[in-house]
Amino acid sequence: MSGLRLRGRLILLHRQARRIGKTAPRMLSFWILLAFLVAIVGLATLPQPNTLVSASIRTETVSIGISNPDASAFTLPAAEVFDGSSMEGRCLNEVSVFPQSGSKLFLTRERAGDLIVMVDGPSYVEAPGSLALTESLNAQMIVSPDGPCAIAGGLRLPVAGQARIGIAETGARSQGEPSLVIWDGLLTIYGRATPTIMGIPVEYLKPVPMEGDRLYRAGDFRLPAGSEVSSDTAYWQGFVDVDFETGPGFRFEASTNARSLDLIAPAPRAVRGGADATDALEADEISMTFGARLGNDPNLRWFFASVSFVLFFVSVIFQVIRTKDEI
Amino acid sequence: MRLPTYFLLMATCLAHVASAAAQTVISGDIEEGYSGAVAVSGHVVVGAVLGPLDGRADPSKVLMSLQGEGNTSVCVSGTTRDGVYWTRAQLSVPEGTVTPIRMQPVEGWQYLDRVRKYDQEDFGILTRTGEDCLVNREAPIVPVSYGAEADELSIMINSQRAFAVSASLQTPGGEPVEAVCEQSGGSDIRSTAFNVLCRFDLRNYPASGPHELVINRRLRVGARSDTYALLLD
Repeated sequence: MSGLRLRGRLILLHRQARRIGKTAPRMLSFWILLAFLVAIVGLATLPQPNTLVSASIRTETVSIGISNPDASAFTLPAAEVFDGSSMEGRCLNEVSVFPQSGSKLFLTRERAGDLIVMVDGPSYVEAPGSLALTESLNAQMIVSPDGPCAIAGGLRLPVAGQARIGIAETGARSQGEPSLVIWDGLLTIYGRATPTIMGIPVEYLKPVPMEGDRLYRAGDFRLPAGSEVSSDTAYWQGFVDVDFETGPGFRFEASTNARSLDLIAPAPRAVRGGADATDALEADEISMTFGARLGNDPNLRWFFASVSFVLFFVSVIFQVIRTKDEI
Repeated sequence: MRLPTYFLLMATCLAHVASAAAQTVISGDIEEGYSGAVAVSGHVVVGAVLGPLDGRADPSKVLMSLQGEGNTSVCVSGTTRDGVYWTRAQLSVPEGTVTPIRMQPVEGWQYLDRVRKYDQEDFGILTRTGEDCLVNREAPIVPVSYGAEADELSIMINSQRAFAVSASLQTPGGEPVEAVCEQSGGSDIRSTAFNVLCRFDLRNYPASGPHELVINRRLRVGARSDTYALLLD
């Protein structure tokens, strides 16, 4: 009895295998299509990339919009201090500057010259023993390694706010005006690994070892000399390092979580035409590209590897069944 | 068509024909360039235009009103805000020429269709008079117009290195008129040729004769004030 039952089952299994074998090519196409759809849906439902941009730029000028006065205060070891109205400077030591919210701080050092610190707007200036805490409008300070107000060594100033780095310019400039440029610079763009795929938190997609929001490096972007980097939304945090022994300018070392930055290079964009196209008026955009994200996000790599593996596994199974059937 | 509308249309057409007839077209060697590799002028004042700037840029429609006796030399320089298009010319205006003058390259305008894509606000055009006006930065400025009523004077300023700009206009010894200046565009607008537009309201101003245009700039390395001679018709 049991022998008959076993034989009957084997016949049934064989018939099923034959049936599957016959439909295998169709089933395989279905699985490929399904995998493709899963990949497309996975990409389409990705959240916005979460980025970090790190800048290391040698520049001759930077402007910083002050929105956090506490994080923007700094002390100069010595400086020639001008207030907004006076043309005569005073040589003071230990000058503390507190730029106020809404003002702009300009740091400028042309080639290997003096560092000029200007505040456009209100600030408080203080020098113990020489100058009580004084509200100043449009204060200006000159820091020099030479002369009566000379300082020794370098200087580090905070960066906390919207920054505009360098000045893009082409052509001749007016007499007596310095050309203040970016000499070289590197933007390193990092991404944070996607925390969800198809709306599902990656932690739930075990046993695939995905971890959300882990930092990965998406790529480097070398800045063209003479360009200008800015953004209406980027809040930079870091520092400016001035080394009077070396030039030109100073180093801007800061990072921002902005998704994109505007770049105005010396050569404008090519105009593509169109009814009202004035493309060259627009700045170029630096951001995490879709391709860079696709190629570098470790969670996306795991996702595609998993989809590919499933597809491969299924195709092997169907291939085996088909081969058996043909035999 | 109702009779008043008909008369209004006729009057408009006649006025247009009359104004067109009163213009003098001067042909000359007018240089033009349209390229990303073109170096733009580093002048502070890049444009001076009378009338509202509410249309499309068009160097072929720019009108120059000149004063003075004898032959007059006029230097014209124009550039788009991004510096991609530029034009430059030195024209000789014979004595007795009826103004306003329109300029016309001998071989015709090469890039009009492209320049017309820019707004008038994005095209600075500056006219100076004098034999050495090409090189003399003190040669008097004669504002141009697009033919509209001259109740407003717009000055395009290249202040890339300045963080505060103000402009005033005055007759010698007279009361100054302050301009309303605005830094155009955000960080995503390429303004390498000029980036500030200062507007003078001339509606209540006796605007004729020689004037002084004073541009005050707070540069990152100190303050600076420049004075330009400006002739208003």
